[in-house]
Amino acid sequence: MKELISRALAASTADYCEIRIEETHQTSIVYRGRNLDDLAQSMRYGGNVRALKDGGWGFVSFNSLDNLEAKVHMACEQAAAIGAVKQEVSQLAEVPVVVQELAADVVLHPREVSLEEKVELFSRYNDQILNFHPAITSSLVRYFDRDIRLYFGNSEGTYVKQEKVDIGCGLRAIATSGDITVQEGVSTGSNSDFGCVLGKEDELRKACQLAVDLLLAPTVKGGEYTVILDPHMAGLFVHEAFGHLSEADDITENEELRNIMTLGKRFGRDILNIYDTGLDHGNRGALAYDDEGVAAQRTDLVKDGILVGRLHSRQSAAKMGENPTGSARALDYRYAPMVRMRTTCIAKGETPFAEMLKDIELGVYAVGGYGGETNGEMFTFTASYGFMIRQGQIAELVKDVTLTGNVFTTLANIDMIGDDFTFDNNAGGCGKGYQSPLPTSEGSPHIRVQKVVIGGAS
Amino acid sequence: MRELLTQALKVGDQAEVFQSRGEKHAVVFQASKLKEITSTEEQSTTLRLIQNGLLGSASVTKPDSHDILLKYAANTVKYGSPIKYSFPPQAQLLQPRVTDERVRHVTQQEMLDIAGDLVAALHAFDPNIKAMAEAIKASGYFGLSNSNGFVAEGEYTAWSVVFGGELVSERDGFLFIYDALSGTDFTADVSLLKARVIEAFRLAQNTASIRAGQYPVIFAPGEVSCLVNPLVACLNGKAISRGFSPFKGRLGELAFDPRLSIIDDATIDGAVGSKGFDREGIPATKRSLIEGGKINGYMLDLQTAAELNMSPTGNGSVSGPVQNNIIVPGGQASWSEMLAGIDEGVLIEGTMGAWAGNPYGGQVSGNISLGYKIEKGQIVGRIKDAMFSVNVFTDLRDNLVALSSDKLWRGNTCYPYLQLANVNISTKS
Repeated sequence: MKELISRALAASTADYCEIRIEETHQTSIVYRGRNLDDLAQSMRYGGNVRALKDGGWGFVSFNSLDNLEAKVHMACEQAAAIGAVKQEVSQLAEVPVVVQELAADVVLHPREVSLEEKVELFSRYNDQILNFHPAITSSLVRYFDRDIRLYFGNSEGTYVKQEKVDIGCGLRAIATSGDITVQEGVSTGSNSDFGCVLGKEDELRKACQLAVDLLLAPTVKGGEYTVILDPHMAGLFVHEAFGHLSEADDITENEELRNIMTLGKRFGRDILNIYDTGLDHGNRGALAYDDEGVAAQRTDLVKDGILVGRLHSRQSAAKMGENPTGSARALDYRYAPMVRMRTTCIAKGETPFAEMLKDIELGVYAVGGYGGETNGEMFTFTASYGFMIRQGQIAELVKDVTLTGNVFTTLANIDMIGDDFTFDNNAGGCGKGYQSPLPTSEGSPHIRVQKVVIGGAS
Repeated sequence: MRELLTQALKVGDQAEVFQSRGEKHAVVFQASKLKEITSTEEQSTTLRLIQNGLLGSASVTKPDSHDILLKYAANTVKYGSPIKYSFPPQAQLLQPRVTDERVRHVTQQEMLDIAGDLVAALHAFDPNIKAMAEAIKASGYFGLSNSNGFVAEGEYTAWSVVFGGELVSERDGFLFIYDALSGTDFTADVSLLKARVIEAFRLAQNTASIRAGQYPVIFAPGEVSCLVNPLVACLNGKAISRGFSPFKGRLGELAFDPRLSIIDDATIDGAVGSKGFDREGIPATKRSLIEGGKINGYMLDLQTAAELNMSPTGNGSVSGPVQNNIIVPGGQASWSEMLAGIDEGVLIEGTMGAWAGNPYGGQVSGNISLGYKIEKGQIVGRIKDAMFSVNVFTDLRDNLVALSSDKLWRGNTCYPYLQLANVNISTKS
């Protein structure tokens, strides 16, 4: 493959050219209710050429590697067509030329586990859900594993072959009573160990009980509250509300956004520390090299409440005069890389959970995360469930807890950070542009936030 | 396909092959500048096998990889999904028009001109707006064949233009407005799209405040999806047959306001969701899902139809029933009459996170990312830091005020403006 890529790159007429080729073998299992709903195996195979000329990008993707030189020509022509309009100097931050082949660093590779064993495992989880309680009327059990080979070469001489693994599962109980349907479950994943999906029985039992309890739980009353976010919800918050803002490809082209995201600016209290890392191996967001052949690293974003860094591709780093961070990622061969998160974390603080609770007269403890969205300034996300906090005590269970707010105000309103820390490797992923779901992870302690708007019944 | 079917029948009792290949070309402007040109070629082959009442499935995107396809299909069929159906025989198929030769012949320069003109127009309106525009053309082929005699193939074209911009300032915050047109037919006339986006930026120039409470709210056509998507999810055969959906066993029941209907229509010429047959070879048609407020039909594929002892509805896909084109018929009032009738209320043009809840619970909450305060029938300014919350099961039954006669296509949906009474709006107190 190295020779094939190198030969084709020789045909480049651009300032910079790269070729990425991917072969991914995937197994997926889905149970819905009593039925095994889907059992499939697939091979995703294809590649792309990306070329940069006079500041303009061309991008060509394909399934057949035949006549790769012609594809290089096409990408170069596209880049030249744009470059002729832009007439800019092509800017890419300098990075070391790397020639490396990396085998997957795994504990238990999913290909070492037979399809029969996988089907049996998820059948057992499915039975556990459906046999838990008569109110549980259905289930949604999803599993996937991906065995990935990625080949990357560029016109600067870098060649990286990476073998990677991505594993995820979601085990969800669905309880129904009349018009009311609620869901609760367990979600997990890893970039290295099939073991992450084993031994989930106790967690699943708790989730099933919660689903049953949520049927009777009232909808949270809308309003402004002091809110404690559990580590999963806080992870979702830091990803959605702050992580996306740190992706420098948006900042590069927008002076106003650049002003808002000026390094050295205060974003939170001294207790707030946020980072994004590709290094915590085991997490779904961990990676050795990004899709521009740049080694991943840990990037501090907020230190002691001050903005100190952001996530970069080679182009955004060059344009802003900063260092690339190994954050250029593509969903698969059909897409060009863009600046994306890896594992985004709020660093552990010092406040015990009981301390967070004690002076809250009326608040909400938001637990787990269905999902969320941000437009840069505003965010919205929905917790799996919540508890009211009354007079410093956890009180009744509530459902339909959706939080919204201004990112900057909310970050400034984080007044306590817990002394715990949990990674979240759920089986979902991050969406940006047309590329979703990209494997990412989050990590956080419990955090407390003042003045959060929660939508709900009046 | 015939050769692959023959080989597959050595492993399974029945086999089905779906093949597709297509190409897509896009020109992309970002931050008011030309950014990239992209070209994508894509092909895939999917093989489904039935053996001893079990279904296995495999797909590959690598050309000439029948060996891997057969191996994976044979692996999965050993432990696969228990099924209660056979692949269908040949049927009489309608063939709505889903191709336009002009799409194939649009040149790169024409695409650059169309997208570039939009960017220039927004820049002329306000140079501080970072405009984005994409012109995308696609075309391709698909074919389906099974061992029970079904053979059909077709072609498609697609043309879409996405247009919008970002306005960021330290004082007023972030404003993102995007809109799009899409269909199977080419059009160089993007004047309505241009006008809608510029008008939205104009309306957003003023801000207005709103107190938390219950208000009449108009959902713009693009945001009616927040209300309709949970209903469509509940009408999906899988949700019905597997017990997720509260609509199970309620066919014929008056569950919503009698003015509300939802139609799934695969027969409309030029609509992106139209097709002669679904992914399993069942003729795709026009069907009423909710009619006059009554739950009237589900979307079923072969498997869910068999489980429910009903007939498949032409909504099959590789992963269960899916919608074709979802239409909500409009009402009598024009959009402007609807607006004029509101003394104090909200117009929602953009939401954020409204999809993130549990669709089978009916509760929909989201941030109003683009919304306007209405006072005495006039839009007075953009509201921020506000959230809406509705329960689609009860609000579309008890609080539907009106559906507009004006409708707008977005992808494979066509919705009117929809007004609800007594919508909960939460804000910073």
